[in-house]
Amino acid sequence: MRFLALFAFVSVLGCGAPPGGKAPAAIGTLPPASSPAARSASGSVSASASANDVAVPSGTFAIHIPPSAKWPLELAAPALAFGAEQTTLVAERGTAAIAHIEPLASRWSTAPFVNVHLLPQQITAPRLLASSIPNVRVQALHDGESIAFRLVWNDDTPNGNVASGMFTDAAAVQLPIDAAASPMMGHPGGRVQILHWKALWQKDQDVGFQDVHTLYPNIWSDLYWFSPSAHPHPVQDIAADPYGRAWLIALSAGNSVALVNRSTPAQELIAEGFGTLTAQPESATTARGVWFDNTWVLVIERPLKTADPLDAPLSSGGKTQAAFAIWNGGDGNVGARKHWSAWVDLEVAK
Amino acid sequence: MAKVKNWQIGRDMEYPIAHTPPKKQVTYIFDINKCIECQTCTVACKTGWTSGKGQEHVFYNNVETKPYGGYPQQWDVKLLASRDLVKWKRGTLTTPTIFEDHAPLDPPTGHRPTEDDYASPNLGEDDIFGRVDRGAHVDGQHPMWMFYLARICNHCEHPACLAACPRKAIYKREEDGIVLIDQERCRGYQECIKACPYKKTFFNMVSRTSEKCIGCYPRVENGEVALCVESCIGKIRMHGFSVPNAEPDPKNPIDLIVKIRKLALPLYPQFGTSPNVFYIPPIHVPEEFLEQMFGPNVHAAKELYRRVSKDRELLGALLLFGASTRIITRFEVQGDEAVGWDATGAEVARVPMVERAFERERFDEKHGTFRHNLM
Ligand code: SF4
Ligand code: SF4
Ligand code: SF4
Repeated sequence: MRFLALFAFVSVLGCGAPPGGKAPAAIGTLPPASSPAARSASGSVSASASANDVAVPSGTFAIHIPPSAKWPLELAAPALAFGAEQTTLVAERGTAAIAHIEPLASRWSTAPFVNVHLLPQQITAPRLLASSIPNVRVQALHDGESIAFRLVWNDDTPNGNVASGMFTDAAAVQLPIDAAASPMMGHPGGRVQILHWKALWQKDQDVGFQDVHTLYPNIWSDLYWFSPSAHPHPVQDIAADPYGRAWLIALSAGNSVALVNRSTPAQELIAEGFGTLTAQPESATTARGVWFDNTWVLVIERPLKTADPLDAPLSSGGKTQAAFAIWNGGDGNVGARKHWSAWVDLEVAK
Repeated sequence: MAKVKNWQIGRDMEYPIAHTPPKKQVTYIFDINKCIECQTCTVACKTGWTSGKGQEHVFYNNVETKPYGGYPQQWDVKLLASRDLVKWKRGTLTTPTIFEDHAPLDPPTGHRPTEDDYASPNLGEDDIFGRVDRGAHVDGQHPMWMFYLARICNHCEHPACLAACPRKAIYKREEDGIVLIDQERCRGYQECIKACPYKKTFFNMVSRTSEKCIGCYPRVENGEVALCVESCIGKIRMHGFSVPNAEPDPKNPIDLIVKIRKLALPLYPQFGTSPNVFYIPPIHVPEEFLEQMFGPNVHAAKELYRRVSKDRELLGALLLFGASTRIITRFEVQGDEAVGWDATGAEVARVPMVERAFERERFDEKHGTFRHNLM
């Protein structure tokens, strides 16, 4: 027998938007919010929640559909072009500034590329059993100040959300900090720097943070402790409130994956072996990825010289290596379930 | 792979990580026969720990109706159906656990619930097994059955969630065996969600990390029972400790009920995680069904429960369920009372072995009226 309605807290999660940017249903009726059971249950727990008072709507309720329905951003059918194919990745030096170079800037169409072969990761648990991304075309450019890598790979579904069983597309450029570091995320004593981009973070930038109501437009919850605002209780408002923030546990613990106001869709990390991946508190790396025509085109950019000893050394005229990883979120790729490459020689032209 | 002891399956077992058991292990006993599915436990936990944005579908505690209910939907049926039939021989599991039936580089055998599986916590609620045909009436025991299964994280001795985490963000505390996800290290790979056979880790789509029952550790550190235990209306729950691999202590009510009398049984011991929530099986439910859920000792446990009034020590331990907000670590039957003490040695519960009852005269002289008992 049920004396309290569990649905006081949960509206129907499953009736929301499909992932991947298809337009969700525009209007929802919300039986849980207007049912007497939901109200009485909320009354029983909200005695000390006066700061939390919410006007409970009744009947049909029009949900504001955020612009996330329009993601990936639509581009004017660009043509992709590359320079000559090579086996060593050469970052050519140009005079035009590299900072904030666009993924479809015309300079990329003459820059040479390396066709980097990718294998499913099967060295450590958990393995990726089947490959869905066999290769990534990689180019590099620099201007003496910054270096940019352009990664282009085929993926017919752009995945920029995460939820239970839902994963994001992603990519990474790996550079050795210590010479002879293992290409497989380094080894003890052999550190690597990883420049990481996620479609999830790109989508956060492009159309706003993935909040509960952006993924599930019909969501209703009658209580978020200490939320300073009303339905749909944007998470940024809650994060800005010192008491509300305490309910965002990973964010309160300082976990960088939980940031709600990221300034760039990229993150710098270091590793010295499997399971040691550690995010850097300060990140000079930026990125921008666009998707069109079943293809991701991503630029990841980093200053050439930095004062940070945990940045992989790069310099004009220098030689080093780079390795690449791609995750296909639609195929359940996440963490170690990824496609990766061996080291590719990288020359930064004088 | 390492060899570890798993007393619940009567043998040693392969487990991906060599680990030493905690000094003591937080342990719970739930008496299914007494649960009324009021969900007070669920609401207590939800209000206390998971009312945040992104936790809408997170129920560290849930109560579902068996045989058809489950949250997330079919959490157990999907795993059972994907594996071979389980075989026991004289108390020993002869078929492989979820740690032993796959290639060395694969995580524990599991499945990933879909979003829809989290959408309806109450589906299957109060549905009975069997059909009520025309002319059906009560004649002794009902042929139809169902029962309520209250579930929290089992703070397993060999956690599958921990074994599956490639970042080692999940740890088991040495002092009390509580299993936690480090919210600073987790990067939301959801491997624990796939691996936990009980589906007691959840993905938070706002924090983008996985979260799980925290065993009310701030309360346990102060000797207090968990929120879901304290709030239980049916007093079906006992919260305590047991020392792994030690001689069971008959003065510890948990040890007496679980390890000495074997009245309470682990849920799906065949999975191999050695869960630490023990259930007194519902005595009205057919054994074929219960044996799949609670292993081969179901018949003995049901028989013992029927005769429990003849076992004064056991009865005393059972009467201490829900009797204190403090964790009872030692108890005794003194005359016609059961007495419980907490870890500091303070007496925290004293309950009569027989509930006092008064039979009143049928006719009330003072008011000149008959007394009616409407029950
Ligand atoms: S509070 Fe107790 S009786 Fe009520 S549903 Fe929970 S376990 Fe069952
Ligand atoms: S029940 Fe699941 S989440 Fe809890 S310790 Fe066991 S494996 Fe981990
Ligand atoms: S032990 Fe605490 S955190 Fe875990 S289910 Fe019970 S109330 Fe919730």
